[in-house]
Amino acid sequence: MSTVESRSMSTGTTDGVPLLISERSWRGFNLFTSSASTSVATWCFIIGGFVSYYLGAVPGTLVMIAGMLIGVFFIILALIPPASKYGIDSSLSSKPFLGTRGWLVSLVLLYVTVAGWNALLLIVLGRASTAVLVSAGVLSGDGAHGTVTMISMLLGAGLVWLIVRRGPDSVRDFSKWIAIGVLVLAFVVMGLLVSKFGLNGILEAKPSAPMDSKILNMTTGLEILIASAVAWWPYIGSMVRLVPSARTALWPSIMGLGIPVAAVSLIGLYAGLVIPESGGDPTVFLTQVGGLTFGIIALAFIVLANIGSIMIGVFAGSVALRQVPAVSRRISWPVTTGVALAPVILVVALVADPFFAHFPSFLAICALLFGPMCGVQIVDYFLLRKQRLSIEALYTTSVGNPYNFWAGFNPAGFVAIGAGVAAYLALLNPFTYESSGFYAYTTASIPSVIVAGGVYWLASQFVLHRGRGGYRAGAARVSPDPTPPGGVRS
Amino acid sequence: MTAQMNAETQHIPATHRERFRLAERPENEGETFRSGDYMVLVLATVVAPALMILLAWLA
Repeated sequence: MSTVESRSMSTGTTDGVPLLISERSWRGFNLFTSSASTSVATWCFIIGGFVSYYLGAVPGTLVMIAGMLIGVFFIILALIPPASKYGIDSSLSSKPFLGTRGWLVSLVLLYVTVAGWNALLLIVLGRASTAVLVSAGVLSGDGAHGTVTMISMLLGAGLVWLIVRRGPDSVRDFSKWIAIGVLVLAFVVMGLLVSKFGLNGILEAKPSAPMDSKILNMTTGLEILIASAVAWWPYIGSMVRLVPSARTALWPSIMGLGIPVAAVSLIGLYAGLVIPESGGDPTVFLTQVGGLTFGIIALAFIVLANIGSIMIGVFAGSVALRQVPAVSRRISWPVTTGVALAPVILVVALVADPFFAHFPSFLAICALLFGPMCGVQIVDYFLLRKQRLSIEALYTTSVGNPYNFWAGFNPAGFVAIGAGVAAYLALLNPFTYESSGFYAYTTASIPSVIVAGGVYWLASQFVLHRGRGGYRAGAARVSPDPTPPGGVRS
Repeated sequence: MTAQMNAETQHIPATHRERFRLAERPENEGETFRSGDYMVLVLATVVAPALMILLAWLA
Protein backbone atom coordinates (compact mmCIF):
# COMPACT_ATOMS: atom_id res chain seq x y z
CA MET A 1 0.00 0.00 0.00
CA SER A 2 1.36 3.40 -0.97
CA THR A 3 1.91 6.37 1.32
CA VAL A 4 -1.19 8.03 -0.05
CA GLU A 5 -3.27 4.97 0.65
CA SER A 6 -1.81 4.80 4.12
CA ARG A 7 -2.88 8.38 4.67
CA SER A 8 -6.35 7.51 3.42
CA MET A 9 -6.50 4.64 5.84
CA SER A 10 -5.47 6.81 8.73
CA THR A 11 -7.58 9.84 7.92
CA GLY A 12 -10.42 9.33 5.52
CA THR A 13 -11.23 5.81 6.55
CA THR A 14 -11.11 6.10 10.28
CA ASP A 15 -12.37 9.63 10.82
CA GLY A 16 -15.29 9.75 8.41
CA VAL A 17 -14.18 12.66 6.21
CA PRO A 18 -14.45 12.88 2.41
CA LEU A 19 -11.55 11.54 0.37
CA LEU A 20 -10.11 13.87 -2.22
CA ILE A 21 -9.48 12.59 -5.73
CA SER A 22 -5.71 12.79 -5.17
CA GLU A 23 -6.08 10.41 -2.22
CA ARG A 24 -8.13 7.90 -4.17
CA SER A 25 -5.12 6.19 -5.64
CA TRP A 26 -6.46 2.66 -6.04
CA ARG A 27 -6.44 1.25 -9.53
CA GLY A 28 -8.52 -1.62 -10.84
CA PHE A 29 -6.04 -4.22 -9.62
CA ASN A 30 -6.12 -2.83 -6.08
CA LEU A 31 -9.90 -2.98 -6.06
CA PHE A 32 -9.93 -6.49 -7.52
CA THR A 33 -7.52 -7.90 -4.95
CA SER A 34 -9.20 -6.02 -2.14
CA SER A 35 -12.71 -7.14 -3.19
CA ALA A 36 -11.60 -10.71 -3.63
CA SER A 37 -9.67 -10.80 -0.39
CA THR A 38 -12.50 -9.28 1.63
CA SER A 39 -15.14 -11.58 0.23
CA VAL A 40 -13.17 -14.84 0.06
CA ALA A 41 -13.07 -16.52 3.46
CA THR A 42 -14.03 -19.87 4.90
CA TRP A 43 -17.70 -18.80 4.94
CA CYS A 44 -17.70 -19.52 1.19
CA PHE A 45 -17.47 -23.26 1.93
CA ILE A 46 -20.53 -23.04 4.17
CA ILE A 47 -22.51 -21.15 1.50
CA GLY A 48 -21.68 -23.81 -1.09
CA GLY A 49 -22.51 -26.55 1.39
CA PHE A 50 -25.97 -25.10 1.86
CA VAL A 51 -26.59 -25.16 -1.90
CA SER A 52 -25.61 -28.86 -1.91
CA TYR A 53 -28.88 -29.59 -0.09
CA TYR A 54 -30.78 -28.57 -3.22
CA LEU A 55 -28.66 -28.88 -6.35
CA GLY A 56 -26.22 -31.29 -7.94
CA ALA A 57 -22.79 -30.33 -9.26
CA VAL A 58 -23.67 -29.13 -12.78
CA PRO A 59 -26.83 -27.10 -12.13
CA GLY A 60 -25.37 -25.98 -8.79
CA THR A 61 -22.24 -24.62 -10.47
CA LEU A 62 -24.22 -22.66 -13.06
CA VAL A 63 -26.83 -21.38 -10.63
CA MET A 64 -24.29 -20.30 -8.02
CA ILE A 65 -22.25 -18.25 -10.49
CA ALA A 66 -25.47 -16.76 -11.91
CA GLY A 67 -26.80 -15.88 -8.46
CA MET A 68 -23.58 -14.21 -7.41
CA LEU A 69 -23.49 -12.11 -10.58
CA ILE A 70 -27.12 -11.02 -10.21
CA GLY A 71 -26.49 -9.95 -6.62
CA VAL A 72 -23.37 -8.10 -7.72
CA PHE A 73 -25.49 -6.23 -10.32
CA PHE A 74 -27.59 -4.66 -7.56
CA ILE A 75 -24.73 -3.59 -5.32
CA ILE A 76 -22.64 -2.28 -8.21
CA LEU A 77 -25.51 -0.18 -9.54
CA ALA A 78 -26.44 1.07 -6.06
CA LEU A 79 -23.00 1.82 -4.64
CA ILE A 80 -20.26 2.26 -7.21
CA PRO A 81 -21.58 5.46 -8.85
CA PRO A 82 -22.01 7.51 -5.63
CA ALA A 83 -19.08 5.95 -3.75
CA SER A 84 -16.57 6.47 -6.54
CA LYS A 85 -17.85 9.89 -7.55
CA TYR A 86 -17.82 11.40 -4.06
CA GLY A 87 -15.38 9.16 -2.18
CA ILE A 88 -17.99 8.12 0.38
CA ASP A 89 -18.58 4.76 2.02
CA SER A 90 -21.73 2.63 2.04
CA SER A 91 -23.32 3.85 5.24
CA LEU A 92 -22.76 7.55 4.48
CA SER A 93 -24.15 7.04 0.99
CA SER A 94 -27.49 6.14 2.63
CA LYS A 95 -27.88 9.63 4.13
CA PRO A 96 -29.56 11.12 1.01
CA PHE A 97 -32.38 8.55 1.15
CA LEU A 98 -32.64 7.81 4.88
CA GLY A 99 -31.90 11.25 6.31
CA THR A 100 -29.25 12.75 8.57
CA ARG A 101 -30.47 10.69 11.51
CA GLY A 102 -32.07 7.85 9.59
CA TRP A 103 -28.75 6.82 8.08
CA LEU A 104 -27.75 5.57 11.52
CA VAL A 105 -30.07 2.64 10.76
CA SER A 106 -27.72 1.60 7.96
CA LEU A 107 -24.80 1.93 10.37
CA VAL A 108 -26.57 -0.34 12.84
CA LEU A 109 -27.27 -2.85 10.07
CA LEU A 110 -23.64 -2.71 9.02
CA TYR A 111 -22.51 -3.23 12.61
CA VAL A 112 -24.90 -6.15 13.16
CA THR A 113 -24.22 -7.94 9.87
CA VAL A 114 -20.45 -7.56 10.15
CA ALA A 115 -20.78 -8.99 13.66
CA GLY A 116 -22.77 -11.89 12.19
CA TRP A 117 -20.12 -12.70 9.60
CA ASN A 118 -17.43 -12.47 12.28
CA ALA A 119 -19.40 -14.74 14.60
CA LEU A 120 -19.61 -17.36 11.85
CA LEU A 121 -15.85 -17.16 11.31
CA LEU A 122 -15.15 -17.39 15.04
CA ILE A 123 -17.37 -20.47 15.32
CA VAL A 124 -15.53 -22.13 12.41
CA LEU A 125 -12.27 -21.12 14.09
CA GLY A 126 -13.36 -22.79 17.34
CA ARG A 127 -14.45 -25.94 15.53
CA ALA A 128 -11.24 -26.07 13.50
CA SER A 129 -9.14 -25.73 16.67
CA THR A 130 -11.05 -28.57 18.29
CA ALA A 131 -10.75 -30.68 15.13
CA VAL A 132 -6.96 -30.12 15.13
CA LEU A 133 -6.73 -31.29 18.74
CA VAL A 134 -8.92 -34.33 18.05
CA SER A 135 -6.95 -35.22 14.91
CA ALA A 136 -3.65 -34.85 16.76
CA GLY A 137 -4.91 -37.18 19.48
CA VAL A 138 -4.85 -34.50 22.20
CA LEU A 139 -8.61 -34.86 22.64
CA SER A 140 -10.62 -38.04 22.37
CA GLY A 141 -12.72 -38.32 19.24
CA ASP A 142 -15.96 -39.34 20.90
CA GLY A 143 -16.42 -36.77 23.63
CA ALA A 144 -18.28 -33.45 23.69
CA HIS A 145 -15.78 -30.66 23.12
CA GLY A 146 -17.98 -27.63 23.72
CA THR A 147 -15.69 -26.18 26.39
CA VAL A 148 -12.57 -26.54 24.23
CA THR A 149 -14.36 -24.97 21.27
CA MET A 150 -15.58 -22.12 23.47
CA ILE A 151 -12.11 -21.45 24.90
CA SER A 152 -10.67 -21.48 21.36
CA MET A 153 -13.27 -18.98 20.18
CA LEU A 154 -12.66 -16.64 23.11
CA LEU A 155 -8.88 -16.88 22.72
CA GLY A 156 -9.32 -16.11 19.02
CA ALA A 157 -11.48 -13.08 19.84
CA GLY A 158 -8.94 -11.86 22.38
CA LEU A 159 -6.09 -12.21 19.90
CA VAL A 160 -8.07 -10.31 17.25
CA TRP A 161 -8.70 -7.48 19.69
CA LEU A 162 -5.05 -7.27 20.76
CA ILE A 163 -4.01 -6.87 17.11
CA VAL A 164 -6.77 -4.61 15.76
CA ARG A 165 -6.63 -2.20 18.70
CA ARG A 166 -3.21 -1.13 17.40
CA GLY A 167 -4.86 0.52 14.40
CA PRO A 168 -5.34 0.06 10.67
CA ASP A 169 -1.67 -0.67 9.98
CA SER A 170 -2.08 -4.02 11.72
CA VAL A 171 -4.84 -5.04 9.31
CA ARG A 172 -3.45 -3.62 6.11
CA ASP A 173 -1.95 -6.54 4.25
CA PHE A 174 -3.66 -9.42 5.99
CA SER A 175 -6.64 -9.75 3.69
CA LYS A 176 -4.57 -10.32 0.55
CA TRP A 177 -2.66 -13.26 2.05
CA ILE A 178 -5.80 -14.75 3.57
CA ALA A 179 -7.56 -14.70 0.20
CA ILE A 180 -4.58 -16.27 -1.56
CA GLY A 181 -4.36 -18.91 1.17
CA VAL A 182 -8.08 -19.73 1.03
CA LEU A 183 -7.95 -19.95 -2.77
CA VAL A 184 -4.94 -22.30 -2.59
CA LEU A 185 -6.74 -24.37 0.05
CA ALA A 186 -9.81 -24.49 -2.19
CA PHE A 187 -7.81 -25.74 -5.18
CA VAL A 188 -6.01 -28.35 -3.08
CA VAL A 189 -9.32 -29.53 -1.61
CA MET A 190 -10.79 -29.69 -5.11
CA GLY A 191 -7.87 -31.85 -6.24
CA LEU A 192 -8.31 -34.13 -3.24
CA LEU A 193 -12.07 -34.42 -3.84
CA VAL A 194 -11.47 -35.39 -7.47
CA SER A 195 -8.76 -37.90 -6.57
CA LYS A 196 -10.83 -39.45 -3.77
CA PHE A 197 -14.28 -39.50 -5.36
CA GLY A 198 -13.47 -39.10 -9.06
CA LEU A 199 -14.93 -36.49 -11.39
CA ASN A 200 -17.90 -38.73 -12.14
CA GLY A 201 -18.47 -39.26 -8.43
CA ILE A 202 -18.82 -35.52 -7.93
CA LEU A 203 -20.90 -34.98 -11.07
CA GLU A 204 -23.28 -37.81 -10.23
CA ALA A 205 -23.62 -37.06 -6.49
CA LYS A 206 -27.19 -36.22 -5.52
CA PRO A 207 -28.18 -33.21 -3.44
CA SER A 208 -28.81 -34.21 0.16
CA ALA A 209 -32.19 -32.58 0.84
CA PRO A 210 -33.80 -31.45 -2.40
CA MET A 211 -37.37 -30.23 -2.64
CA ASP A 212 -39.83 -31.94 -4.98
CA SER A 213 -39.81 -29.13 -7.52
CA LYS A 214 -36.80 -28.71 -9.80
CA ILE A 215 -37.48 -25.02 -10.28
CA LEU A 216 -37.76 -24.45 -6.51
CA ASN A 217 -34.37 -26.06 -5.96
CA MET A 218 -32.80 -23.85 -8.60
CA THR A 219 -34.46 -20.71 -7.31
CA THR A 220 -33.35 -21.42 -3.76
CA GLY A 221 -29.77 -21.94 -4.92
CA LEU A 222 -30.02 -18.66 -6.82
CA GLU A 223 -31.55 -16.88 -3.83
CA ILE A 224 -28.75 -18.02 -1.50
CA LEU A 225 -26.06 -16.60 -3.78
CA ILE A 226 -27.95 -13.36 -4.48
CA ALA A 227 -28.24 -12.97 -0.71
CA SER A 228 -24.51 -13.64 -0.29
CA ALA A 229 -23.68 -10.91 -2.80
CA VAL A 230 -26.18 -8.33 -1.54
CA ALA A 231 -24.90 -8.91 2.00
CA TRP A 232 -21.70 -7.16 0.88
CA TRP A 233 -23.47 -3.80 0.65
CA PRO A 234 -21.88 -2.55 3.89
CA TYR A 235 -18.35 -3.42 2.78
CA ILE A 236 -18.29 -2.23 -0.83
CA GLY A 237 -18.36 1.52 -0.34
CA SER A 238 -15.29 1.60 1.87
CA MET A 239 -13.29 -0.05 -0.93
CA VAL A 240 -14.80 1.65 -3.98
CA ARG A 241 -14.39 5.11 -2.44
CA LEU A 242 -10.63 4.67 -2.89
CA VAL A 243 -11.02 4.36 -6.68
CA PRO A 244 -11.29 7.66 -8.59
CA SER A 245 -13.53 6.33 -11.35
CA ALA A 246 -16.68 4.23 -11.53
CA ARG A 247 -15.49 2.99 -14.92
CA THR A 248 -12.24 1.73 -13.39
CA ALA A 249 -14.21 0.04 -10.62
CA LEU A 250 -16.67 -1.84 -12.84
CA TRP A 251 -14.81 -4.96 -13.98
CA PRO A 252 -12.71 -5.36 -10.82
CA SER A 253 -15.94 -5.32 -8.80
CA ILE A 254 -17.65 -7.88 -11.03
CA MET A 255 -14.60 -10.13 -11.07
CA GLY A 256 -13.46 -9.48 -7.51
CA LEU A 257 -16.81 -9.89 -5.79
CA GLY A 258 -18.64 -12.26 -8.07
CA ILE A 259 -16.20 -14.86 -9.30
CA PRO A 260 -13.85 -15.71 -6.37
CA VAL A 261 -16.70 -16.18 -3.89
CA ALA A 262 -18.59 -18.35 -6.37
CA ALA A 263 -15.41 -20.34 -7.12
CA VAL A 264 -14.61 -21.13 -3.49
CA SER A 265 -18.28 -21.73 -2.69
CA LEU A 266 -18.31 -24.34 -5.45
CA ILE A 267 -15.76 -26.40 -3.49
CA GLY A 268 -18.19 -26.28 -0.56
CA LEU A 269 -20.92 -27.44 -2.95
CA TYR A 270 -18.88 -30.39 -4.22
CA ALA A 271 -17.71 -31.35 -0.72
CA GLY A 272 -21.29 -31.14 0.53
CA LEU A 273 -22.44 -33.40 -2.32
CA VAL A 274 -19.87 -36.18 -1.82
CA ILE A 275 -19.72 -35.89 1.99
CA PRO A 276 -23.32 -34.93 2.80
CA GLU A 277 -22.84 -35.01 6.57
CA SER A 278 -20.28 -32.17 6.27
CA GLY A 279 -22.72 -29.66 4.79
CA GLY A 280 -19.66 -28.05 3.20
CA ASP A 281 -18.09 -27.38 6.61
CA PRO A 282 -14.33 -27.76 6.09
CA THR A 283 -13.77 -28.61 9.75
CA VAL A 284 -15.76 -31.80 9.09
CA PHE A 285 -14.48 -32.89 5.69
CA LEU A 286 -10.80 -31.87 5.59
CA THR A 287 -9.37 -34.86 7.45
CA GLN A 288 -11.75 -37.15 5.57
CA VAL A 289 -10.53 -36.09 2.14
CA GLY A 290 -6.90 -35.30 2.91
CA GLY A 291 -5.91 -37.66 5.68
CA LEU A 292 -4.58 -36.80 9.12
CA THR A 293 -1.48 -34.76 8.26
CA PHE A 294 -3.12 -32.67 5.56
CA GLY A 295 -6.22 -32.27 7.72
CA ILE A 296 -4.25 -30.90 10.66
CA ILE A 297 -2.27 -28.48 8.47
CA ALA A 298 -5.39 -27.30 6.63
CA LEU A 299 -7.37 -26.89 9.84
CA ALA A 300 -4.53 -24.94 11.44
CA PHE A 301 -4.52 -22.72 8.36
CA ILE A 302 -8.27 -22.18 8.75
CA VAL A 303 -7.70 -21.04 12.33
CA LEU A 304 -5.11 -18.48 11.19
CA ALA A 305 -7.12 -17.39 8.14
CA ASN A 306 -10.22 -16.85 10.23
CA ILE A 307 -8.31 -14.74 12.75
CA GLY A 308 -7.23 -12.55 9.82
CA SER A 309 -10.74 -12.38 8.34
CA ILE A 310 -12.24 -11.47 11.72
CA MET A 311 -9.63 -8.74 12.10
CA ILE A 312 -10.79 -7.22 8.82
CA GLY A 313 -14.42 -7.50 9.89
CA VAL A 314 -13.76 -5.92 13.28
CA PHE A 315 -11.83 -3.15 11.54
CA ALA A 316 -14.78 -2.51 9.18
CA GLY A 317 -17.23 -2.49 12.10
CA SER A 318 -15.01 -0.13 14.07
CA VAL A 319 -14.71 2.28 11.14
CA ALA A 320 -18.50 2.24 10.84
CA LEU A 321 -18.92 3.01 14.52
CA ARG A 322 -16.53 5.93 14.25
CA GLN A 323 -18.73 7.48 11.56
CA VAL A 324 -20.95 8.50 14.49
CA PRO A 325 -19.52 11.83 15.70
CA ALA A 326 -20.32 11.06 19.35
CA VAL A 327 -18.31 7.84 19.10
CA SER A 328 -15.30 9.29 17.30
CA ARG A 329 -15.14 12.25 19.72
CA ARG A 330 -15.55 10.35 22.98
CA ILE A 331 -14.24 6.83 22.46
CA SER A 332 -10.70 5.84 21.62
CA TRP A 333 -9.87 3.49 18.75
CA PRO A 334 -8.98 0.56 21.06
CA VAL A 335 -12.32 0.89 22.87
CA THR A 336 -14.16 1.13 19.54
CA THR A 337 -12.61 -2.14 18.41
CA GLY A 338 -13.75 -3.71 21.68
CA VAL A 339 -17.29 -2.44 21.08
CA ALA A 340 -17.18 -3.87 17.54
CA LEU A 341 -16.08 -7.24 18.88
CA ALA A 342 -18.52 -7.36 21.81
CA PRO A 343 -21.61 -8.67 19.93
CA VAL A 344 -19.46 -11.31 18.23
CA ILE A 345 -18.31 -12.60 21.61
CA LEU A 346 -21.89 -12.54 22.90
CA VAL A 347 -23.13 -14.60 19.94
CA VAL A 348 -20.41 -17.24 20.20
CA ALA A 349 -20.68 -17.40 23.98
CA LEU A 350 -24.45 -17.75 24.11
CA VAL A 351 -25.79 -19.12 20.83
CA ALA A 352 -22.88 -20.47 18.80
CA ASP A 353 -24.47 -23.74 17.69
CA PRO A 354 -27.95 -22.33 16.90
CA PHE A 355 -26.35 -19.44 15.02
CA PHE A 356 -24.21 -21.80 12.92
CA ALA A 357 -27.20 -24.05 12.26
CA HIS A 358 -29.28 -21.06 11.14
CA PHE A 359 -26.60 -19.47 8.96
CA PRO A 360 -28.90 -19.65 5.89
CA SER A 361 -31.39 -17.54 7.85
CA PHE A 362 -28.67 -14.98 8.54
CA LEU A 363 -27.98 -14.84 4.79
CA ALA A 364 -31.69 -14.43 4.04
CA ILE A 365 -32.01 -11.64 6.60
CA CYS A 366 -29.06 -9.85 4.97
CA ALA A 367 -30.88 -10.02 1.62
CA LEU A 368 -34.14 -9.01 3.30
CA LEU A 369 -32.55 -5.78 4.55
CA PHE A 370 -29.91 -4.85 1.99
CA GLY A 371 -31.89 -5.80 -1.13
CA PRO A 372 -34.51 -3.09 -0.56
CA MET A 373 -31.73 -0.70 0.43
CA CYS A 374 -30.16 -1.24 -3.02
CA GLY A 375 -33.51 -0.63 -4.76
CA VAL A 376 -34.08 2.63 -2.90
CA GLN A 377 -30.52 3.82 -3.44
CA ILE A 378 -30.63 3.16 -7.19
CA VAL A 379 -33.89 5.09 -7.62
CA ASP A 380 -32.76 7.93 -5.36
CA TYR A 381 -29.38 8.44 -7.01
CA PHE A 382 -30.25 7.90 -10.67
CA LEU A 383 -33.89 8.95 -11.03
CA LEU A 384 -34.44 11.52 -8.32
CA ARG A 385 -31.06 13.14 -7.74
CA LYS A 386 -29.76 12.77 -11.30
CA GLN A 387 -26.42 11.52 -9.93
CA ARG A 388 -25.71 14.63 -7.85
CA LEU A 389 -25.15 14.66 -4.08
CA SER A 390 -24.06 17.46 -1.77
CA ILE A 391 -20.82 16.81 0.11
CA GLU A 392 -21.76 19.59 2.52
CA ALA A 393 -25.10 17.98 3.33
CA LEU A 394 -23.52 14.53 3.66
CA TYR A 395 -21.15 15.63 6.41
CA THR A 396 -23.26 18.06 8.43
CA THR A 397 -26.42 17.74 10.54
CA SER A 398 -27.64 21.31 10.94
CA VAL A 399 -31.32 22.25 10.74
CA GLY A 400 -30.95 23.61 7.22
CA ASN A 401 -29.42 20.45 5.83
CA PRO A 402 -31.54 19.24 2.86
CA TYR A 403 -30.99 15.64 3.89
CA ASN A 404 -32.74 16.34 7.20
CA PHE A 405 -36.17 15.75 5.59
CA TRP A 406 -38.33 15.59 8.73
CA ALA A 407 -36.39 15.50 12.03
CA GLY A 408 -33.51 13.78 10.27
CA PHE A 409 -35.60 10.97 8.77
CA ASN A 410 -36.86 10.48 5.23
CA PRO A 411 -40.21 8.69 5.61
CA ALA A 412 -40.17 7.71 1.92
CA GLY A 413 -36.96 5.73 2.45
CA PHE A 414 -38.29 3.85 5.45
CA VAL A 415 -41.70 3.16 3.88
CA ALA A 416 -39.99 1.85 0.73
CA ILE A 417 -37.57 -0.39 2.63
CA GLY A 418 -40.54 -1.63 4.68
CA ALA A 419 -42.41 -2.42 1.46
CA GLY A 420 -39.38 -4.29 0.11
CA VAL A 421 -39.10 -6.30 3.33
CA ALA A 422 -42.83 -7.09 3.16
CA ALA A 423 -42.47 -8.24 -0.46
CA TYR A 424 -39.60 -10.51 0.53
CA LEU A 425 -41.50 -11.97 3.48
CA ALA A 426 -44.55 -12.56 1.30
CA LEU A 427 -42.43 -14.77 -0.94
CA LEU A 428 -39.96 -16.46 1.41
CA ASN A 429 -39.76 -17.18 5.11
CA PRO A 430 -36.12 -16.41 5.98
CA PHE A 431 -36.13 -18.78 8.95
CA THR A 432 -37.69 -21.88 7.36
CA TYR A 433 -37.07 -21.17 3.67
CA GLU A 434 -40.73 -22.01 3.03
CA SER A 435 -41.78 -20.16 -0.09
CA SER A 436 -45.07 -18.98 -1.50
CA GLY A 437 -46.54 -17.06 -4.41
CA PHE A 438 -44.37 -16.68 -7.48
CA TYR A 439 -41.08 -17.13 -5.57
CA ALA A 440 -40.13 -20.10 -7.73
CA TYR A 441 -40.06 -17.85 -10.80
CA THR A 442 -38.61 -14.64 -9.33
CA THR A 443 -36.66 -15.39 -6.13
CA ALA A 444 -37.52 -13.21 -3.14
CA SER A 445 -34.63 -10.75 -3.37
CA ILE A 446 -35.27 -9.50 -6.90
CA PRO A 447 -38.93 -8.53 -6.29
CA SER A 448 -38.01 -6.92 -2.96
CA VAL A 449 -35.43 -4.70 -4.72
CA ILE A 450 -37.97 -3.72 -7.41
CA VAL A 451 -40.83 -3.14 -4.96
CA ALA A 452 -38.64 -1.01 -2.67
CA GLY A 453 -37.43 1.09 -5.61
CA GLY A 454 -40.94 1.57 -7.00
CA VAL A 455 -42.48 2.48 -3.66
CA TYR A 456 -39.61 4.87 -2.99
CA TRP A 457 -40.19 6.68 -6.27
CA LEU A 458 -43.90 7.02 -5.52
CA ALA A 459 -43.44 8.09 -1.90
CA SER A 460 -40.75 10.56 -2.90
CA GLN A 461 -43.27 12.44 -5.04
CA PHE A 462 -44.81 13.56 -1.75
CA VAL A 463 -41.38 14.56 -0.43
CA LEU A 464 -40.65 16.46 -3.64
CA HIS A 465 -44.04 18.17 -3.46
CA ARG A 466 -43.20 19.39 0.05
CA GLY A 467 -39.86 20.74 -1.15
CA ARG A 468 -37.79 18.52 1.16
CA GLY A 469 -34.70 16.45 0.43
CA GLY A 470 -32.83 18.96 -1.73
CA TYR A 471 -33.86 17.13 -4.91
CA ARG A 472 -34.54 20.19 -7.02
CA ALA A 473 -31.41 21.98 -5.84
CA GLY A 474 -29.30 18.88 -6.40
CA ALA A 475 -30.59 18.22 -9.90
CA ALA A 476 -30.28 21.84 -10.96
CA ARG A 477 -26.83 22.33 -9.50
CA VAL A 478 -24.45 22.43 -12.45
CA SER A 479 -22.18 25.25 -11.38
CA PRO A 480 -18.60 24.39 -12.28
CA ASP A 481 -17.31 26.03 -9.11
CA PRO A 482 -19.81 25.52 -6.31
CA THR A 483 -19.56 27.70 -3.27
CA PRO A 484 -17.64 25.81 -0.62
CA PRO A 485 -19.22 25.41 2.79
CA GLY A 486 -18.83 28.77 4.46
CA GLY A 487 -17.81 27.20 7.70
CA VAL A 488 -14.85 25.52 6.13
CA ARG A 489 -13.70 28.53 4.13
CA SER A 490 -10.32 29.48 5.46
CA MET B 1 -29.68 27.57 5.38
CA THR B 2 -26.05 28.39 4.61
CA ALA B 3 -25.62 30.19 7.92
CA GLN B 4 -26.97 27.20 9.82
CA MET B 5 -24.71 24.84 7.95
CA ASN B 6 -21.79 27.18 8.48
CA ALA B 7 -22.36 26.95 12.20
CA GLU B 8 -22.35 23.18 11.93
CA THR B 9 -19.19 22.92 9.87
CA GLN B 10 -17.38 25.24 12.29
CA HIS B 11 -17.14 22.14 14.46
CA ILE B 12 -15.04 20.40 11.83
CA PRO B 13 -11.44 20.36 13.05
CA ALA B 14 -9.27 22.97 11.37
CA THR B 15 -7.15 20.22 9.87
CA HIS B 16 -10.17 18.98 7.93
CA ARG B 17 -11.60 22.31 6.75
CA GLU B 18 -9.40 22.53 3.71
CA ARG B 19 -10.34 18.95 2.88
CA PHE B 20 -14.05 19.80 2.95
CA ARG B 21 -13.52 22.92 0.85
CA LEU B 22 -11.64 20.93 -1.78
CA ALA B 23 -14.07 18.01 -1.67
CA GLU B 24 -16.87 20.30 -2.89
CA ARG B 25 -15.03 21.10 -6.09
CA PRO B 26 -16.07 19.30 -9.31
CA GLU B 27 -12.48 18.30 -10.04
CA ASN B 28 -12.61 16.16 -6.92
CA GLU B 29 -15.57 14.19 -8.24
CA GLY B 30 -14.74 10.77 -9.61
CA GLU B 31 -15.55 9.74 -13.16
CA THR B 32 -19.02 8.20 -13.57
CA PHE B 33 -20.25 5.36 -15.76
CA ARG B 34 -20.85 6.01 -19.47
CA SER B 35 -23.63 4.35 -21.43
CA GLY B 36 -21.31 1.58 -22.67
CA ASP B 37 -20.45 0.72 -19.07
CA TYR B 38 -24.11 0.12 -18.25
CA MET B 39 -24.29 -2.16 -21.27
CA VAL B 40 -21.29 -4.13 -20.01
CA LEU B 41 -22.82 -4.33 -16.54
CA VAL B 42 -26.13 -5.64 -17.86
CA LEU B 43 -24.44 -8.15 -20.18
CA ALA B 44 -22.15 -9.50 -17.46
CA THR B 45 -24.54 -9.53 -14.53
CA VAL B 46 -28.00 -9.94 -16.06
CA VAL B 47 -27.79 -11.51 -19.52
CA ALA B 48 -24.95 -13.95 -18.75
CA PRO B 49 -26.62 -15.20 -15.53
CA ALA B 50 -29.90 -15.61 -17.39
CA LEU B 51 -28.16 -17.84 -19.92
CA MET B 52 -26.50 -19.81 -17.12
CA ILE B 53 -29.88 -20.37 -15.47
CA LEU B 54 -31.27 -21.57 -18.78
CA LEU B 55 -28.34 -23.98 -19.15
CA ALA B 56 -28.81 -25.20 -15.58
CA TRP B 57 -32.47 -25.84 -16.33
CA LEU B 58 -31.57 -27.86 -19.40
CA ALA B 59 -28.74 -29.76 -17.63
